[in-house]
Amino acid sequence: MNPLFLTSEGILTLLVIAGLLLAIFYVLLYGREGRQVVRMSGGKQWLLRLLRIAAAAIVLLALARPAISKVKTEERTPIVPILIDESKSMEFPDSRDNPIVQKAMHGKRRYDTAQTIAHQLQEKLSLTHRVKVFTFSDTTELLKEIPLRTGDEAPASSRSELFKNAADPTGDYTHIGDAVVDTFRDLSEDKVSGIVLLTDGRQTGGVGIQTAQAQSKQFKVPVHTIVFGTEFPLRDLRIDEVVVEPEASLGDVLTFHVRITNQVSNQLRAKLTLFEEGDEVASRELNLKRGQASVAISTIPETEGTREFRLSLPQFPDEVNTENNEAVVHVKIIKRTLSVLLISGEPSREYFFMVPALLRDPVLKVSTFLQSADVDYTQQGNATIKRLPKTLKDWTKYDVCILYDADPNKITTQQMAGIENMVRKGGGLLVIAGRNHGLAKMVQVHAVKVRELLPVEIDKNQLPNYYQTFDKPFKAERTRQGKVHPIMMAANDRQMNEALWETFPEFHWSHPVQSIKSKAIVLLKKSTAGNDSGNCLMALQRFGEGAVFFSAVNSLWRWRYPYESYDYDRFWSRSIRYLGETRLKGTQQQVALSSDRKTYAPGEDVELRLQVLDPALMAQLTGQPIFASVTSPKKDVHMVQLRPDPSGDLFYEGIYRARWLGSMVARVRQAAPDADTEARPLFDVKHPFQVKMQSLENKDTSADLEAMRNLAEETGGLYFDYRNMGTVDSLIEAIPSDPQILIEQILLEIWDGWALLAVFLCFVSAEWCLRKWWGLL
Amino acid sequence: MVGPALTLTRLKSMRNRTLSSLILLFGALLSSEVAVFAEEKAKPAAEDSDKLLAEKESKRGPTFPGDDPAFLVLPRPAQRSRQALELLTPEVRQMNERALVFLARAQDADGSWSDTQFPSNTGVTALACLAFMAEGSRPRIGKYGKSIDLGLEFILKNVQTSGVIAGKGSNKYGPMYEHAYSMLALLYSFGDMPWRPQTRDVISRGIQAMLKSQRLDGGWRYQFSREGHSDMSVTANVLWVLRTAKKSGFTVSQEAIDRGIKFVEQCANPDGSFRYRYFGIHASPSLGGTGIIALCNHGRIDHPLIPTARDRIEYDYRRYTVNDLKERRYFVFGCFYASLATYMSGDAYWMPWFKKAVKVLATMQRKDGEIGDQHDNTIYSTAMASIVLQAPKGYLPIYER
Repeated sequence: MNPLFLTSEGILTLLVIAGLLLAIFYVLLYGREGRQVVRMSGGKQWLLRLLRIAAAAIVLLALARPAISKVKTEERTPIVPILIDESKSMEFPDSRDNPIVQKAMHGKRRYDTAQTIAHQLQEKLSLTHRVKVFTFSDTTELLKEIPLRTGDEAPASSRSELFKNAADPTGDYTHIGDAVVDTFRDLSEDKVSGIVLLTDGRQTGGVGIQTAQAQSKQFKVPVHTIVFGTEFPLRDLRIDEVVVEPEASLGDVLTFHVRITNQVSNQLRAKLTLFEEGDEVASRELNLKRGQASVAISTIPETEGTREFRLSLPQFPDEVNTENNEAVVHVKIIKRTLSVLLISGEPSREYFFMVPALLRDPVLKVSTFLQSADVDYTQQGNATIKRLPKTLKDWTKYDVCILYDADPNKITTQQMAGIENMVRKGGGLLVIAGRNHGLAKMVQVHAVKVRELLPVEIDKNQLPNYYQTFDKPFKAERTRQGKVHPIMMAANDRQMNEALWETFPEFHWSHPVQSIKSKAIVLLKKSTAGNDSGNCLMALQRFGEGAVFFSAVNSLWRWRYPYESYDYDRFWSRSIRYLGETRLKGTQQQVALSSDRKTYAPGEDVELRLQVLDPALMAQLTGQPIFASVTSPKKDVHMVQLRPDPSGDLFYEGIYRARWLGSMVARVRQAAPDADTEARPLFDVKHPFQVKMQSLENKDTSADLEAMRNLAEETGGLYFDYRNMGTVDSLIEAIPSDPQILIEQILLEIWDGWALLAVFLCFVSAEWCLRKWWGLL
Repeated sequence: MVGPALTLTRLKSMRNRTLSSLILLFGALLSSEVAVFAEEKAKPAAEDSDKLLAEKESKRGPTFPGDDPAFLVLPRPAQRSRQALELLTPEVRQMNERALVFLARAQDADGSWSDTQFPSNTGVTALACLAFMAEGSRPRIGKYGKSIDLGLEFILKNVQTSGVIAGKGSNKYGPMYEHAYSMLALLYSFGDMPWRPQTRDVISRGIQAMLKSQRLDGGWRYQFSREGHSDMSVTANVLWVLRTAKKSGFTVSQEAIDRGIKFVEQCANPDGSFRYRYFGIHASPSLGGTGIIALCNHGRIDHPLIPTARDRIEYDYRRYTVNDLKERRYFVFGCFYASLATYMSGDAYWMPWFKKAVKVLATMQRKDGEIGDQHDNTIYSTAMASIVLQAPKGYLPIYER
């Protein structure tokens, strides 16, 4: 016990000075009084002085607030808080590789595993520690306080008792940081031997884990993390999206582009099966890596009408959702063919090979018109004609016209107008230059129409030079735009395509080209240095709703080597289908509208992207404003401007901020630059997406193992996940059980006590009585 | 090649030859599909689409589009054929290069080619031109463009007022071969030769000359005359020309072709061989190919005679040694027609046949590149051999599938 004064030293000094002054004052005062009272002896005078000084000293002492301090020591049992994540993500099944799950008796949810471990830990920890079990989501709740058990004979809390009020995870958020910080606050007076954190580690709000980590380090309390789930999302194989044209042609290939997510294993073999109205029509063996993959599966529909197609993937054990292993789409199957009219001047070598190539394509209805044929010649083709169409109406029956080295004098102005009108209304024109008539004559005879249609400028004075022999071969190479153009895709696989184009033959002759039109693109050029427009071998331009393809070479038959007619036939098929696509499918298909995700929360940005697959279309759209309309379920429409990619890539982008809930449809409908108001759109594409309130708990179903490992390692704790959870008992030994020593210093103030008052009163009374006695009053 | 082997075994026990011919013909195509299935996993979508369409087309089989079908449309192959890459070995390329160089050097100043038996002959010249065309050249275009141009000029200079194309060095029996080969060369080149606009008229008159000389038995022979009996070889060549003319925009009487086909059918033996003349006994091995060509040119790819004739050729080349074949009369001539027949029968027949034929031709080729016959003719035989050697390229439209 140590006496001490509680007032500051400054006041104490003043009090001492005041006491000395009072003492001097009293000595002087009683000296004067003593002289007035002669009979009072010196001893009495000093007695009175002392009594008064003593009384004053007591008052001054009281003002100094004297006190005594006392130290108290106490031993207390340390505490271990166990924090259990009870957010909804703990409802998900735990990893199949977790040894505790494999022996699970109470379910395989993450929360079940957490309960098992919490129960197991508290049973043992309560022998050496006080245990407090908390649950947390967005708030932290004390679930149970388990006192120190004196021995094994003392019963531990049963699992059902422990989780009586928290049988299922119900929290909407996971605030791991808050839980740790709150625990430190609640247990600020206790010795915390360590925090045991049972969670999937996926923080969805609240104080950051870094803050919790910093506090733990500050208090030197290790956080032991036990994590449920795996670094991968929940085990699921699902079909995310099926992209297919809403309408398809009877007897033609219908391809379904399927986006599949594999969350089952790193390498998964699965069979994708396509059913049409319940009957299997195609299947494909897939070798899927973990994550997303895009695959295509095709069939040839043989029945007209709206058909139901079901794509199915097999179900794997413990999949979180098996409903998404299937997807159903409806496609309208329409009997459609492309009517092609080949007008050829002479039966050149290309003609001999091209006619059967066209006739082999089942989608094409081919009419040929050989201009040099006998008058009574029966023209070839599977839709034979006796004469060329004359009126505009006659020409509208055709989808694609091929002018192969045609004699312009045998084509009337009205017929050329018919061709132009057909292209403007969505048809296609393929112009192949030849050595017989050349294009200069065509430009001379049909100057306006031909110049308008052709993607290149031809010098009308440069007639074919018949007397020149062309024996120097030259190679052709695709331009940057040619490399990505659908006509030039001999194979979908980029590397294979490159390899196939390496087999493209050398040529000896090509039709001279003066220059390229501004909105045309060059697909193939002579493999010579420089970008001289005269090197152009193949060019393309969109014209109205249709397109015109120009080839300056007429010996593509040389591509019959090395793979026979395979690539040669398909090159023409691709060209004709591209040119007639608007007619075949009702609209341009060279664009694709997409969004960065399929589902959004209100307020999030939806990135809309219009991918233009055809560089020629991109050239045609140059300078045109493009808008996407976003329509809500209540038919509210919001317009979003799509802007071209500044780096020059073939896409337009725009941002829509999600504001309405429900199924939204983005749509881009674009008319040709010079089209009238009644013209059909160049393309009309739609893309659906969802805006809905989303639980963050479902957003990412993987466990954040890395964050939890860091938290444990940084705070000196242990880390357990599905790989080592079998050794979780080792945690008991890692938590120290040293008791908490509490040292308390107690201060007892004595200035306001009765004893000091009594002494003071005694001195004052004695002084007063003596004065009275000695007749001083 | 499991597909065709199985198909072939089955067919041997089948009586319905008509049906079997169709199935056999597409055996090669089906076999390639077997290979496609094995590789499917690695193939991207576009390949799958093409395969699907090709499968569908092969089920549909050959078609004969049009009101007067000149084009017999066979299904598209289900996958890229590697026959050209496999067959055109460096040795074969070298053989052919030497043959073409020999032909180019052998051209006379007037553009013609002369053989020992056939000096300045339009037929020989036409075959040489066709050999250069098979290389990929066209008149005034390509490595041999000049040679072709000169050769065709010579042919056009030898057009008689009757329409017959035959020069002074024509066959002593009659100029029909010369005429037929010249017609073929002109038909395959006139669309690429605008500087000679008279060519179309020449061909037109040539066709009329042929039609006028069709004999009473329906066939043709050396002489441009309606009298006498026909022979199988000339008739097949004329039918070939007529069908090519039909493809090229010329009107050809269907009746004349039908009668010609009837004559070819009459020449056929039940064992698949063809007699030189329908009343004769001798069946020349070299005629098998011409028979098939004649029947196929009529669009009768399902003709019951074709399988036996083709099997006969296949047996012939398999059975006999290189030396046996080499010693045959007019081996190169027969080899040329056999190549046309086996090519259209599919890779299952074509590839082994070609490999064997190359072996024979290799032993026949001399140091300057020429290939001769028993009469020391070197031009026509070298030209025909060169056309055969270049067939895998598929540049000459006579090789059709």
